[in-house]
Amino acid sequence: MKASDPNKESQYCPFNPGYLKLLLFTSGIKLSDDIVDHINNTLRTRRGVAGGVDLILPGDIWVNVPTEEAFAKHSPLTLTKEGGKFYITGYGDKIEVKLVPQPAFYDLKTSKGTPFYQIATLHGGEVHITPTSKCHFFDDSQNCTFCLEREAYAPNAREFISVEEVLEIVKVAFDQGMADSVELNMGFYDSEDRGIALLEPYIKGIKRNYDTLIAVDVQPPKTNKWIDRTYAMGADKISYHMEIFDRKLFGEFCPGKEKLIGWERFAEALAYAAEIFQSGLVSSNLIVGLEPPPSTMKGIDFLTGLGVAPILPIFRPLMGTTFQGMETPDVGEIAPIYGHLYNAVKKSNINMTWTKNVSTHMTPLEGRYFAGDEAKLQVVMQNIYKTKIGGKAIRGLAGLRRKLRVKDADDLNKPSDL
Amino acid sequence: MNVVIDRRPLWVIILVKGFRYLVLASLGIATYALSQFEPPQGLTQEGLRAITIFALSIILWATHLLPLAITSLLAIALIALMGVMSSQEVYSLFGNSAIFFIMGALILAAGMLKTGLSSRLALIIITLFGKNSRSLVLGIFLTSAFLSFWMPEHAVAAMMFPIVLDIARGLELKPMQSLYAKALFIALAWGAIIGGVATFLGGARTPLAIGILQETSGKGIGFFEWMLAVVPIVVILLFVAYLILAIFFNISSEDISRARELIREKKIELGRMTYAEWMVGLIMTITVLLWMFCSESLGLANIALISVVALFVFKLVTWKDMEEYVNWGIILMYGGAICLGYAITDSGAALWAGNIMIGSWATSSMAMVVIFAVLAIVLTEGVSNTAIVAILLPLGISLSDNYGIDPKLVTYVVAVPAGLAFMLPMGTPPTAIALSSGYLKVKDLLIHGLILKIAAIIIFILMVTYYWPIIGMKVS
Repeated sequence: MKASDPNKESQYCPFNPGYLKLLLFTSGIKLSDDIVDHINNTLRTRRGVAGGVDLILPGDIWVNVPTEEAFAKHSPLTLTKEGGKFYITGYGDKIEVKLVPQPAFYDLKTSKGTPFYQIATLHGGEVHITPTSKCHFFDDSQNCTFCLEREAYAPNAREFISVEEVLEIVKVAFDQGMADSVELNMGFYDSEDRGIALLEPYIKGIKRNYDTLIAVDVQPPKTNKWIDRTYAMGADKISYHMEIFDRKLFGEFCPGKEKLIGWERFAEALAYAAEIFQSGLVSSNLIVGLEPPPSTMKGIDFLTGLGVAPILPIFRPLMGTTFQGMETPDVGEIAPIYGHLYNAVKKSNINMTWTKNVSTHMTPLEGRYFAGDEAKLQVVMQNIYKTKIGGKAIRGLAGLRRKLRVKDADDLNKPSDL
Repeated sequence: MNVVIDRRPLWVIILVKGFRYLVLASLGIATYALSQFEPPQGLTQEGLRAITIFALSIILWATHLLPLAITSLLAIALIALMGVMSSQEVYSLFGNSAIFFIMGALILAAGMLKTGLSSRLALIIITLFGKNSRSLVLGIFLTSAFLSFWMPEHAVAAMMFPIVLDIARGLELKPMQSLYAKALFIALAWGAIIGGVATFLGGARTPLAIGILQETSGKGIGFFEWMLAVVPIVVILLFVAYLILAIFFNISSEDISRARELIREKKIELGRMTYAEWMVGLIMTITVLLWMFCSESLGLANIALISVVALFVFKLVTWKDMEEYVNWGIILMYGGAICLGYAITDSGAALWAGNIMIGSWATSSMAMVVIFAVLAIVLTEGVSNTAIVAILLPLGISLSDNYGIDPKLVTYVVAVPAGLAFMLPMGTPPTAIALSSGYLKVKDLLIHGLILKIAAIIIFILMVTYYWPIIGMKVS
């Protein structure tokens, strides 16, 4: 536990779910002996930054808590079970939490025999699917230094999972009520479109069969026409992860992104995407803990100035990466960043209610816990969107917006051919 | 799909889209309301209804709120529904021989395109002329013009486009900057446009005009007769247009050795002339000769249809080719326009409207000719040239008696200028195709097109005054 002010932490901990989430990210959690087996069974299918146990804190705050890393063994917080209920205990307090059950989803295989967990993970109502195991950054060892993806899904994985298999996964996730939206992830592809054209059949296939919103997590294409195309093909949300705002550190931590894409292109592409997609649905990760907090805050201001919603995951020294064994960020130092995040997003009028509560990072709306603002309206709106009718409404509006905005360029200036 | 994202505020987009429905609904209500009014003096109830449908069609054709062909279908249905003519009469007009002539011509052109005969002809002519940079422009210009004598001008432009684009790229000409590149693409567009008015085959408007003339006055114009009146105008226009290219664009200083190489490569790619090309060439030649010398006795449409059958007898084309190369919407557009033209003429509405709108200006027969020619050449920049014929010709034919003008002459006066859209991409496909190259700015077409347009009006009126009387076509 590395808190600058443990007393403050213990004071905040029971009452502030945001702070508790931060604490759990950085400290991890110990497991009481009676639930170790239960939890281990849940964890066997998880990987990377989602490699911990998913808990739901008061306020419907989802958090993925590290349990396996070395720092978690020394956490001041313990997960216990009493009378069928789960509690976090520590600092003399006990808070009831919910353990996200291991869905049957992870035990299934596609019709071609690929286990679902190799392709997809569930995160707070969103199923994240990775249709291809390729990331060309790894070809020349130019991968982001904190990334574990290659190890996670290269073994036994085919280059592309078929559209049919992806549809099978989506069907099960939706039928089991574990998700109502989809995110498609892709590594780096060294082509003009950076691989988005390869995702097109998946996006179209999903849209054809399900009334859902689709997010894509890809790398910025070389030209903006591919951003137009991404929106036109059915993506509702887009993420180009800058990861690090500081230009020098960006090159150090993400050599492939620096060399093959460039920091400036990230900025350009994000600014352009913010003009095309709906407010709040263009996002970029800035990993907290890999650069000094003032730099991250500058990054937040820069991104919100472009109309982009910054998403702030916390650096987690994953086992299997070069960072294994390193210390996690200091909670006292990083907490103000999240308050700054909330204020900056609010000031820029970026919609923060459409972003789901995801367990692996802190959303702008969750930053309210650090800004002293209850954000009542935004919370009410987010809760409305979580209802069936609300969800249908935003999906309908997203579809209508696309229908109104997307035009076939060939139809413009077309003369009469009669 | 090449997409573009409309980034205007959503409320603006909704307003614009909603406006279309609002306008359509308003037009529907207005059409119904107007048709119920008491007709003014000199106009029958049927005439009033015919004029109402005609006005509705003009608005829809001009604004493209509906596709041109669909507007025509609407007009046909309304003429019958509103009692202007019986259903049987209306639909029987669809069997006009002009419609079958243009159908045949389109299928024959498809045969030339499909077999590659048209591309071969283009390359042969360009090679003949392409000795230096100046003559290469002339080659492209005359090739487009000559091919448009025998094929629809938009098909010629589409076929020539990749050849000219390859030349521009091969010469490494800078898009939007190189004057020589601009000259190449403008030569392609203007050549096709000017050549397109020379015969019945270059554009849809001429057969439509003949169809309206036949239905409303019972008269016809022969293939050779048309050429005799129009080809001299075309030749002068070609000369003037080339002069404009030579004066305003730097067409003499480019090294075109790479272009000659490219053309050679393309000819090698085409290989030897195939059996299909020979056969299509033979059928086309016989057809044109028959059109020129036997159209009176055999009928234009009959010749066209028999030639089409010959294409299928020798298995030179398939029905799938027809679906790919022939614009079937044009047939519907024609049918509707001919029905509408007949309806407003037969009901007396065209005469009544013509007298009110143009009668007071047209103090002499020559004035009337000038008014119609200028209206046609100006309006054709913004409205499809076939729509211009459908709109203006019935009015002109109805007024012709009052001014002692032969309806045949009015047909020339409307149909020829209606084909001369040099300035805007909306007017005719060749201009739009040239613009799509990325080597031209709209400004280039606007400025130089305007100069050519003014010259064209003057040339046309001079020819009407001094040349046509020589061949027996007097204004009055």
